[in-house]
Amino acid sequence: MNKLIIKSCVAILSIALAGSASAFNLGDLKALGEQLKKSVPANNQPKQNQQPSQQREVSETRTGDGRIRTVCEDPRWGFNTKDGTLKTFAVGDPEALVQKYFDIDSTTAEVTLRRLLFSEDINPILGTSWPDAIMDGGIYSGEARVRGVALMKRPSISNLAQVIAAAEQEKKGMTTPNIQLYESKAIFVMVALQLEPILKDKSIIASMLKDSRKKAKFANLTKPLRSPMVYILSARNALIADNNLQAFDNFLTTSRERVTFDNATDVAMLSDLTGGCGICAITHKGAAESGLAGGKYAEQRAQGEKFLADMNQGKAQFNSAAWDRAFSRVDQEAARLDALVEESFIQAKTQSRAASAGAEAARRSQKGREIGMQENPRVSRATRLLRVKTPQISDAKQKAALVEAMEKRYGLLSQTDKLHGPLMAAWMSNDYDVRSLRPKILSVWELTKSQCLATFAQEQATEASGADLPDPSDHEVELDELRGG
Amino acid sequence: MSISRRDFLKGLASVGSVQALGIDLASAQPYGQMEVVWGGTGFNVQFDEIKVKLPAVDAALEQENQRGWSAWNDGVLNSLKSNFNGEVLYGDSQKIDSQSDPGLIFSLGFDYENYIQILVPEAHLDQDAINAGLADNDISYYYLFSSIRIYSVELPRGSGGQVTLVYSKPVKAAGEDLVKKNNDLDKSRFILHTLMGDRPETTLDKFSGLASQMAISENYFDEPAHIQVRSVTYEPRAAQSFADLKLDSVFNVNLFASVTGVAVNEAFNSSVIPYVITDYLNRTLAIRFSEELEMGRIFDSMKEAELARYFIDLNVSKVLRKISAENASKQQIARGLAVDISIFDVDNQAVVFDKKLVRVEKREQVKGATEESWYRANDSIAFYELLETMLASFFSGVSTLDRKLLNDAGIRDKDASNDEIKILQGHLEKTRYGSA
Repeated sequence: MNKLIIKSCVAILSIALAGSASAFNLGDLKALGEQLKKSVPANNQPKQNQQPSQQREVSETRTGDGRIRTVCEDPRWGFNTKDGTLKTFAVGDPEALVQKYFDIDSTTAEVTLRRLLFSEDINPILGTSWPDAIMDGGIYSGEARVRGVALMKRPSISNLAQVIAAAEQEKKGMTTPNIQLYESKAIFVMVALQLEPILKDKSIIASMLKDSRKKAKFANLTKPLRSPMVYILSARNALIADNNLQAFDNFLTTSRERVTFDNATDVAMLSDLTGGCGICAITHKGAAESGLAGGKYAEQRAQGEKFLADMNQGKAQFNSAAWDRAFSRVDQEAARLDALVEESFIQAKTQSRAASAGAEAARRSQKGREIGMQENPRVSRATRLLRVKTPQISDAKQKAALVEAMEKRYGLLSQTDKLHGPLMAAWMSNDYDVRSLRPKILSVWELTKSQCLATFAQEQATEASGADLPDPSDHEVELDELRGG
Repeated sequence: MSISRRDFLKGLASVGSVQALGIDLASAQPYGQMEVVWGGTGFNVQFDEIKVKLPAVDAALEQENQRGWSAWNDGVLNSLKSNFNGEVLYGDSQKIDSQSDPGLIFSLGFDYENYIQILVPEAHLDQDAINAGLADNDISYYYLFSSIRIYSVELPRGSGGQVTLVYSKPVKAAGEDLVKKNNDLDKSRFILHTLMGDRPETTLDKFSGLASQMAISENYFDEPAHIQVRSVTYEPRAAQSFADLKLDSVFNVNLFASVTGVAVNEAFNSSVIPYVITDYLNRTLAIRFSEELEMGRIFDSMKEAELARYFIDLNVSKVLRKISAENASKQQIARGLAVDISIFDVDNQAVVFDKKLVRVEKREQVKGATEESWYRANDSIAFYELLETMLASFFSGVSTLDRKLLNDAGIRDKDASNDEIKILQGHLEKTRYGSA
């Protein structure tokens, strides 16, 4: 696992360097690299985050055998829904909690959630598909992210209630809370944006974001930090919902603040290691291309490019034909496997697209395009698997095929992981132009994300074909409920 | 008050002991000279409610210039002729001579229906589903509750006439079939098949069964202690739950009353007066006679509600529907009902039983269907079957003093003692047809 983390860390640092050059200097970069080298081995085991303040009782549940098979299950990356420790809130009446915010019928909740969460329509404030946003590196806290991932894996009232319960946590006392507290609110905002057609009070988005724009502790860093995701969502909301360019500018600038890694003990969970804040990057790029703020952002980007050009002057291009072939092979195999799995899910009903008609929606979409909206084709492809209902396969032959496809997927994830190696070596050598590394690093990361999404869908199908429900004749609890006053 | 008339009828009931339906056929005496008349079919709802409360059967019978009515009337008349061990007087269109002695009159009234469709999405059906016909059809369920009533009519010769309700038997017919999408004719075909198709357990088949049994066990003048569902009320929270589930129009008072009527009849062979009494059937009967006005007065004077010796009052206390467990592909849905049941003895003006029935059933349901109607249909069918099982278990449990059955209806040992159950059993035995 160490190897994987080191590889990924290095790769993602390249992205950070390339995407945010104007905010870096070489000294910072060197210090960061040193810090990573020191801290990664120490982080081999998952660390316990600081306990957040809470309103509800929280229990920790071992959700698997603790075996981490892929990066998609690694709690340090926020994907610990299968194996690892999952913190759950005691929610007495999940339906009532969900209905406090959403106009949702519990009978058809799963259908509604799946249709809206995996809609092909991109919410302009999110700027990307909801699964892509949940996996964005702009979220530091794995604990916060994991509830979004759980909802992604199984869209249900109970998982949505967990997202809400986490968002309703309040700061206790005068101490600076863990960033989980604020990023849990950001996760709620992401969910609420995607579920906007059934959101009862749209003002909750602005108020929840306001409550989360605070500094918090994370990974034992000396200085408290802000969540890039909280600020970039605030920026996009300010411009799209409120048409407030000044607020947009302030929040965008804050979202791009760099982290000082002093004393960090859990670097693996820092956002730059998971692709950096992708929504921040597309927002800045979109704003630059649209000439917003009198061309300020375009100027920043030009300065950054110039800085990179100066920094990489005379360095070799990374153009390994072998790496390109390996990437192409893995990418094609991923596409082939996705198609195969999708075909095996074919009996599932297609979900109607979420309605986004009306002048207001059109206006918002236009605003969204101005500041960057992206549709990653690999993620879209994998999201299609999540959008369709999870098939339950009872035929033994098909079951075996499902298990085989699952093993192939794990194999592919391993191969995807190996693609990081040469990129890491290239970066570490300091011999190559990071601009030639950047697109490759981003491609590998996008491929990794899409592989994780497809893995979630396949694991659900495999699980669905084996797991039995409890004895239906055990209904004493419900009988007592009916007999009660 | 009807008590005096009942007493009068009891006085007449000295012709011989009456045997309950289902008695030893070998010991039964045939009534070779018994005469019977087919009285007709009506709706046990107000006239202006027919198209609202019984639209499916009404449409099916009216379809194609009332061909359904024609087939139905022919069907019941022919059934009576071939199954009743006696003489069937007057054809369907013949007027009954007011000076004749028609003996028994059979009639049938429709009480309640529920038509449920599970809409099968046209897109993305696999070959197996297409081969099964799901591309063009929806899976449909239909329940039709009716009451077969048998009257003994004393015609007005000198001192006025008398109508005696000898037996009122609620019957349920149910059908399940693939019905062509958006095709009223095919829907009517399905409804009529449930009503009188060539298969067991149709309404007509149950009518035929009763007609054949009547021939060996009928006594003209016996009138059992009828029982009737008097009221069905809902706690606000229960009404809200049904409304939330969009099932309030289905799980209305008529359904609860109809299911209860069938349950008590099947357990005790009780004579059950329909929940809704209208003069529609009486008018239908009256116009069968040559002296319509005179007969109309006689039928009007028979207030069936006053005939009941026992009343059942139901109060739907709680409705439960929740996901009790789930995995990636399936949900386990817990559905439950709590219904307060009270049985009132009219003669003694006393409540003889007052308990809460509760039942929970958990069923698996595949996740991922996109059509809301699919969930509604599942809930509708499951709640209906739960209600039916709960009430059937209760009345059968009382009839046989079977604690297991009573427990299935939520009556635990601590809720009602054996003595309490025996007392109730004694009361309900009085409603058994032929027990007078």
